[in-house]
Amino acid sequence: MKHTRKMIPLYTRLCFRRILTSKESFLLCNQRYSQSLKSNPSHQVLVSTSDDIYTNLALEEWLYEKENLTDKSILFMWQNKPSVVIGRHQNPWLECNVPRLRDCGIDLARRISGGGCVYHDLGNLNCSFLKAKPLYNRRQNLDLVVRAITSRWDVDLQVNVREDIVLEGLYKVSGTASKLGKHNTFHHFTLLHDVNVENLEMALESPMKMGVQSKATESTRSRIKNLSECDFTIDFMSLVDVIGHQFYKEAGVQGEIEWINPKDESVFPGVSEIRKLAEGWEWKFGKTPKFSTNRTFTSDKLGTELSLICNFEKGRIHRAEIVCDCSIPTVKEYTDTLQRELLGQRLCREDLNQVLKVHDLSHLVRHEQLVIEWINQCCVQALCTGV
Amino acid sequence: HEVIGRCIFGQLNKLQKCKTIAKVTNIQCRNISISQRLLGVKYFTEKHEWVEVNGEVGTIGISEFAQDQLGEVVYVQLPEIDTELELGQEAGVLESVKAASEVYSPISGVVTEANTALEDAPKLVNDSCYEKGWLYKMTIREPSELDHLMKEEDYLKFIKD
Repeated sequence: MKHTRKMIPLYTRLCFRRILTSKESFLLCNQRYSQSLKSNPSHQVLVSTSDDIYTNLALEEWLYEKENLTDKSILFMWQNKPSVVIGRHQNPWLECNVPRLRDCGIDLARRISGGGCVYHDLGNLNCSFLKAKPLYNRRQNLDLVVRAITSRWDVDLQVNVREDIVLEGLYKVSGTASKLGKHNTFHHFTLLHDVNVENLEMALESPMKMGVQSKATESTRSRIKNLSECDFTIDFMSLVDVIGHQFYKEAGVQGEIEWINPKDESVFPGVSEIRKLAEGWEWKFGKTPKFSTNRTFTSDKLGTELSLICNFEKGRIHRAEIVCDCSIPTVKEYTDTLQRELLGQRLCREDLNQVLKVHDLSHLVRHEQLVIEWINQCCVQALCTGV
Repeated sequence: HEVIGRCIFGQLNKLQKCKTIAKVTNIQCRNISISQRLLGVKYFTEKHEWVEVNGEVGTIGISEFAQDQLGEVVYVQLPEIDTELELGQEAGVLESVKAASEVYSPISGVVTEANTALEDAPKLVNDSCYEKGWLYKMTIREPSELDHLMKEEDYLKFIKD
């Protein structure tokens, strides 16, 4: 089965998985979904029927903000089509390949919890334990999941000091993060069962690492492995089943795993508004802590050197200093204009395209044209938005 | 003689000052509480934030108990200057070892200053939570809100329980 899987192109594979999951979830929906939740009110296991990252994060935030958890604990599980999720105070340009994600149609999201950057696809299960503050205990949640998985499959899983779930003592299969509020808390983590490792590595490789100074929180990279490599029957449905039932079992209650539609405004009023904000540029990129880039480019052919310093605040260019050692007046004029026009622009393709497009240079001599084109290319490279 | 004269004069001045202070403190209880507040006393919330009053400005931070619970702080998100905050409203976030904890404003007012030193040294919140690790300063819109907060002795009792 594994051999066949490798032969199928990635896109088709992902589609196939999604179709399968949608079909299964549709069937389950018909059986179990209802507005009045049937489980014991003190414990609930909810599973999302959506694979959209913004929708799922919005529902998690809705549960965290609106649910009264004083006498209730919730386990919310979900999966997403390919996306990258960064922590609350991270810099997306440094954590992942922003232009590449755009070109590949991979969503980028910023969560409200802390922690590092992770890649999601349908081979990753997300678990979120929502509890009242006095019951917040990450270790307990992770141990529960390890007990659930090891009860059904023979895998060597442990929780390490960093509160990562580690496979065979070497490979990280889970990354943890949490959010603490006045009364409510949540602890969520990923669980890699069949994630596409090549895509993960491509998505998390940032082209902007050089010459950057940043105050944002950084990720810690680890070696990873998929759980399905130990036993191919480990997949989304079986994990949801075993973890969901373990949750009820350890709470000493009976309960059903409930599939929910996270877009349903009648059950979760206000969730669409949260989703809209989660998808917006201001949240995803505008919340990036201050950072700056300092790059030097040299062209032996043209005999020039360019220095580019940019300070970014809230995802916008706060200050730009572009200095070329070429003494030609038209070149100096070009760099001055560029410096002025870049100020206040968002670090995104739409805004920068306007400024960095090459104007008509036919009225200039050849050498001047080459220098200006080169300066333009250097800026595009330094700003890394894939203009 | 001149020296002795000056000394006596100095002592008389001191007595005069004491008499004036005694007069002031004798007048009303309310005046006493205001002058106490002017001396930089800290008031604590149940969520482990503190506010220190100096004149019309309150400085906000988190307590020793809170910083210990959080673990090492790696990032501090502070409110912007001129932000209007209500009592209990989310003012910022402290990130520590993958957990993002919300900070709630202990009183209502407008933010006047944020501790920018925390941008480069977020660990100051752990190392010096009552002094260098202060979070932000704000105006005190309703001084009566301070009456509902705990003084240090009461707060220490509260965390023991």
